Amino acid sequence: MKMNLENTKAQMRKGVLEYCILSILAKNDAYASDIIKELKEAKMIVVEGTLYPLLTRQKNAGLLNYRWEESTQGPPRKYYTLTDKGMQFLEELDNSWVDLVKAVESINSKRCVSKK
Amino acid sequence: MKKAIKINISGVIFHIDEDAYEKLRKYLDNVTLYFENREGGREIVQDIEARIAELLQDRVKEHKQVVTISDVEEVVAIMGDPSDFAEETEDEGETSEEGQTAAEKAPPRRSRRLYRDPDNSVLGGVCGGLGSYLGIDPVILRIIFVILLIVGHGVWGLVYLVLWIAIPKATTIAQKLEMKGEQVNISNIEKRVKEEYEDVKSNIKNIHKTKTYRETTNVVNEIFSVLGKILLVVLKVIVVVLGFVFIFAGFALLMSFLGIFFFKSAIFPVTAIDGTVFPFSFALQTISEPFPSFILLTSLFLVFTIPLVALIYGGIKLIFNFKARDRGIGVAALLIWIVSLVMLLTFGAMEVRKYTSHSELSDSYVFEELPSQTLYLEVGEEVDDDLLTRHISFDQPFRGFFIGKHEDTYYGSVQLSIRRSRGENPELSVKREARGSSRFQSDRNAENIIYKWSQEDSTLVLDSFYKIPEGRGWNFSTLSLSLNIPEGQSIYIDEKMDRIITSARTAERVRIGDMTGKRWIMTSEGLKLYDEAQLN
Repeated sequence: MKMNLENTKAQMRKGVLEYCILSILAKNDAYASDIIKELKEAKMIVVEGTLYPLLTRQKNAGLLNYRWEESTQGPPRKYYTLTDKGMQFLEELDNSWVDLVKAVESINSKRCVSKK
Repeated sequence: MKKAIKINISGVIFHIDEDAYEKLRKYLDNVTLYFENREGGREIVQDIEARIAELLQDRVKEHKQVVTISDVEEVVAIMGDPSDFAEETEDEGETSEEGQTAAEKAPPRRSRRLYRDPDNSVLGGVCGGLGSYLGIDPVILRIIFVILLIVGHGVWGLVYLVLWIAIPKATTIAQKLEMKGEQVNISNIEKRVKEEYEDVKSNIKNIHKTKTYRETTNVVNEIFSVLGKILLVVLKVIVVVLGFVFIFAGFALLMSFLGIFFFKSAIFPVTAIDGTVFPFSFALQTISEPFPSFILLTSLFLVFTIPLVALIYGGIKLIFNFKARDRGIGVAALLIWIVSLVMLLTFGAMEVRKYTSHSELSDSYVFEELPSQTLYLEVGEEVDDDLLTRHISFDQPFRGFFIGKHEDTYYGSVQLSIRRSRGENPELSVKREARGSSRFQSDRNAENIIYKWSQEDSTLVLDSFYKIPEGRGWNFSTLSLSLNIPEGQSIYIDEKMDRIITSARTAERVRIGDMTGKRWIMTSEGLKLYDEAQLN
C-alpha cells in the first residue's frame, strides 16, 4: 500500500499539535524548551524542529505573544504567552475537540459492536 | 589531535571540532535554505539556533570543553531533519502526503526557468543556461552561436549580449534547481549543497598541484572580467540609448496615429499634401456605411496602438531596467491584438465584399440649334465646406476631389473633361458610377446618384457636386461629365469652372486655372484661345 503509516500519524498529530501548544500556554507562560518538554513527555512530537515554525505562525496569527527573559545559563529566552485572541481560539478548539472525540468514539463503538 | 574552531551560535561561544562544525553548518544551511523564503522564516531559524545553543550548552562541561561530532549528531537528531518537520508545516494546500503520492503517481512537473548558468559558462553562461532550459548540450549551442556569429556578421553577437543582459544569473541553489527543472525541495537542495561542497573540497586539493596554472588563469580571468565590466558599461549605455529611441519613436508614431484617427491630420503634417483634409474615422465610416463601423474602428485602433504602447513600455523598461510582473498583461495585450487583427481582416473582407460589383450608367444629351455661336459654361450650385459636417478633400494630387456629409446626405465632387468630338453638335454625357455587393445593388447605388444641370439658351449650368439622398451611403460613387465639342464650336469657360474641370483637350499645354474667364474654340489640335485662332 502506498499510504505511509508514519505520514498518516504525522497528519493526525499536526492539527492536534497546535491545539496542544495553546493548551500548554493556557496554564502558564512558557519558553520553547518547556513546551518541548511537555510535548515530548506526552509523546506528541518526535523532533523538536517541528515546534518552531508552528510557534512563529501562531505568533504571526496573533494567538501568541512573547517577551524576552534573561537566563542564568545561556542566551535570553523567549517566553510565550497566550493573547486574548489565542484564549478565544483555544476555547473554540476545546469545543471542537470534544465534538471530535465524541464523533470518533461513536463511530468506533459501532465498529466494536459489529465485531462482537 | 584535532583542530577546533570557535563559533558563535545565538550569542554563545562554543569551541567545536572541525568535522562537527562542518556537520552543524550543513544542518543549519539546510534549515536556512528551507525557511528563508517563508513568512517569518528568519525568526524560525533564529529560534532553532537558540535551541541548538541551549542543547549544546548542556553537553559542554568543565572537563569536556569542545563540542564533538557526536554532540552535534545528537542535537541534530533531537531537532530533526528539516525534511521531517518541514513536511508537517507545509500548509499551502499541498500537504506532504498529497505531494508525495502525486509525485509517485505522475512524474514531477518539470517546469524550468531560464537562467544564466555561472557554473557552466565561457562568457556569461547564456549558452549553459539555454542548454539547461532546452535540454541540449551547451557545447552544441556554443558551436551554433559561433557559426552564426561568423555567418551572421556579428548580429548574433548582439543577440548574445542582449540575452546576457536580459537573462538573470542563477545565484541561489533554488534558482539553480529551477534552471535544471528539478523540484525545489529539501532533498534536492541538500543534494546540491553536498555536490558543491565536494566541488570546493576537490578544488582545494588541486590547488597545490597546479598553483602556477591557477595563477595564470587567475590573471587571464581578471583581465576578462575587467574587459567584461567595461563591455557591460558600454552595453548599458547602448541599451539606454535604444530605450530612448524606442520611447521617442513609439510616442511620435502614437501621436501621429491618434492625430489622424481623431483629428483632421497628423501632429506632424506632411507638406506635400497640405490642404488635404482626411479624417480617418470618417473615411472608414463612409466606406463601411451602413455597417456599424464601431467594431472596425475599435479593432483598427487597437491594432495600431497596442504595438506602439508596447514599444514605449519596452523603451521605459530598457532604460530603468525594472522587473515587473507584466507577463500576464503582455499575453493579454498580444491576445487582444491578435483578436483585433482577425476582426479587422474579417470585417475588412466583409467590407470588400460589399463592393465587388461595379455599375456604370451613362446618359447623353446633344445640344442642337444653339441660339448663339458660343456655348457658355457656368457653375451652378456649390457646396460650402462649412455646410458639410465632415468631409474628406484633397488639393493634390486629386485636385478638387471631395466627399462630404451633411446630416445624412452625401455630397461628392464632379469631374468634367472637355473633349473633341467628330459629331455635328456639342454633347454632354453624364456617367454615374457606383459599387455594390451585387449587380442589382450596384445598379441601384448608381441610380441613387443625383446630379443637377441645366441648359438655357446657350448657357450650360453645371452643379459642382452630386448628391446621394439620405441613408443610402456613399458606395464609391463617382460622377464624371464629359463635354464633347465638335471642331469649330466655341465655348466660354466661366471663372469658377476650374472647380470641376479635371481635364481638357487643348492644343497647347495650359493649366486648368488659366483656362477660365476666356473664350475658346475647338480645332483639330484641340482647344485654342478664340481670339488667337481668329488671327491666324
